[in-house]
Amino acid sequence: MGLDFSAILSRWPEFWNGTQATVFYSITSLSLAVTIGLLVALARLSFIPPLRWLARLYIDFVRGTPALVQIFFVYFGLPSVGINLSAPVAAVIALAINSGGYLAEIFRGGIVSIDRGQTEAARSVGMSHWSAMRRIILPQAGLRVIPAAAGEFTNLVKGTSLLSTISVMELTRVAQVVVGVTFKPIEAYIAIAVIYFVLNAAIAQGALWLESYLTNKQGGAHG
Amino acid sequence: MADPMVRIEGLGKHFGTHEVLRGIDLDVEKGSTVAIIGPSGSGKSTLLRCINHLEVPTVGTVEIDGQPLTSSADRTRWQRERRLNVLRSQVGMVFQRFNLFPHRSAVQNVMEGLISVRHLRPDEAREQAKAMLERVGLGNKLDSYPSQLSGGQQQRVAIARALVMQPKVMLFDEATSALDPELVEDVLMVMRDLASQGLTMIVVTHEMGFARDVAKSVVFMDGGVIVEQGPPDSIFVAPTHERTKMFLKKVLHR
Ligand SMILES: Nc1ncnc2c1ncn2[C@@H]1O[C@H](COP(=O)(O)OP(=O)(O)O)[C@@H](O)[C@H]1O
Ligand SMILES: [Mg+2]
Repeated sequence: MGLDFSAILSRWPEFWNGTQATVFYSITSLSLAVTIGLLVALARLSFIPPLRWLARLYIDFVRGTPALVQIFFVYFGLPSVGINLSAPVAAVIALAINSGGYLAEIFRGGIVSIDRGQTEAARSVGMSHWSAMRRIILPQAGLRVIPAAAGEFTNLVKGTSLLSTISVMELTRVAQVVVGVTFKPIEAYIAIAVIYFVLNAAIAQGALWLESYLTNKQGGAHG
Repeated sequence: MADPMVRIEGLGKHFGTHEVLRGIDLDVEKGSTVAIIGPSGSGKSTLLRCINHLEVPTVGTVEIDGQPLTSSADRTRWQRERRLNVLRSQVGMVFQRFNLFPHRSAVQNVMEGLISVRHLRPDEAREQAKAMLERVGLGNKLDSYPSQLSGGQQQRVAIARALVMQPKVMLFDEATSALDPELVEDVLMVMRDLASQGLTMIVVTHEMGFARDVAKSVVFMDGGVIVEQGPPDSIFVAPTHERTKMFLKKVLHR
């Protein structure tokens, strides 16, 4: 038996909508996750012990439990304590909390990898801890973590497929629905696999461009 | 000595159980240059870093122009930090490995403190930074990034970055040790120039010629203590301690 994509192709508007939803959930969750990741990384490096412990607890919890459980917790669990979130909102929050934990560790690694001499030079001209962090350390760390952060973005894009379990109409859910009426599972899943792959290839390429653009803007290669 | 620019009293520093500095007393007269010499590991860098509290001393006090770096009046961490930030902006520091900000051009490196500490407008800061880079002979390298500069040029940018804050005292930690021999003289020339203009300087160095010519006073350290101190003529010509004699013999007859 051969593959027959005609039924799938005739449904391209649904796949297109699903792709847009996947991109939307990936980008909104990522924006929130970057913010969370940065704050948690800074908390993890803070001189205030309770902040460090909380950050550590958050990171370990997020990384030590399945993303699917986290999604179920936010969508099905929170209503029982009076927090009712629509599926899209629960989706973004759950994915951001998850990805934020991974990004926090990536950002922390980037920050501590910057030579101590940079902080010392900044402090020796009288800059505060925060100015030194914001103007000297973070720009250099940001450049350094691009590859790892892009990898996490890829995980996030793939992770959006879990949202199919709470009926968010993203790519995987669309494929399930289409399979239900066309009875073409192989074709449908090949189609979305290709779309995921293209999205992630674009992220990888974008990260390379961003890295080389920022490297050039910062005066070429430096340690 | 009346009103020294830097006064260090009873300073000691431990790293864990390792005692690196002990009972350091040192006054640096306004407008004078003090050279600190001594074998590797004797605590020279740690002493310099204690002066601006990049390392917090375990005991003892440091005063810059009569102002202590720490005060019991400061109750919160925030108050202590504020005092330190103000005083650090009055103490320039030049590092062995330059520590320029690699993501900033030469002129941006020099502008950084003016903008983020002194809150000058960018055009004003640029004007001052440019003048300072011209003074160290780098007027044609304003927009070069550190990775595009030689070691000697980088170190002169680092000196300009410290000088532009109009510090009361400059600390040099082996400023020429990481440089190729042919670039050392450019940096020493700038330092000589500063000394002759009456800037107060504390210079950790292995350049004995420089110490002899420029320093008003030479401090010999070994094992975390000041072994002896005096004008270059007495330290280099007639050292009194055996350890000083041995050290000088080693470094002067290479
Ligand atoms: N951050 C640190 N932690 C532990 N030991 C240190 C640290 N910094 C310096 N030391 C130790 O202090 C001693 C003096 O070091 P340093 O001040 O760098 O000497 P010098 O500059 O004269 O070579 C050395 O034994 C060194 O290993
Ligand atoms: Mg040293």
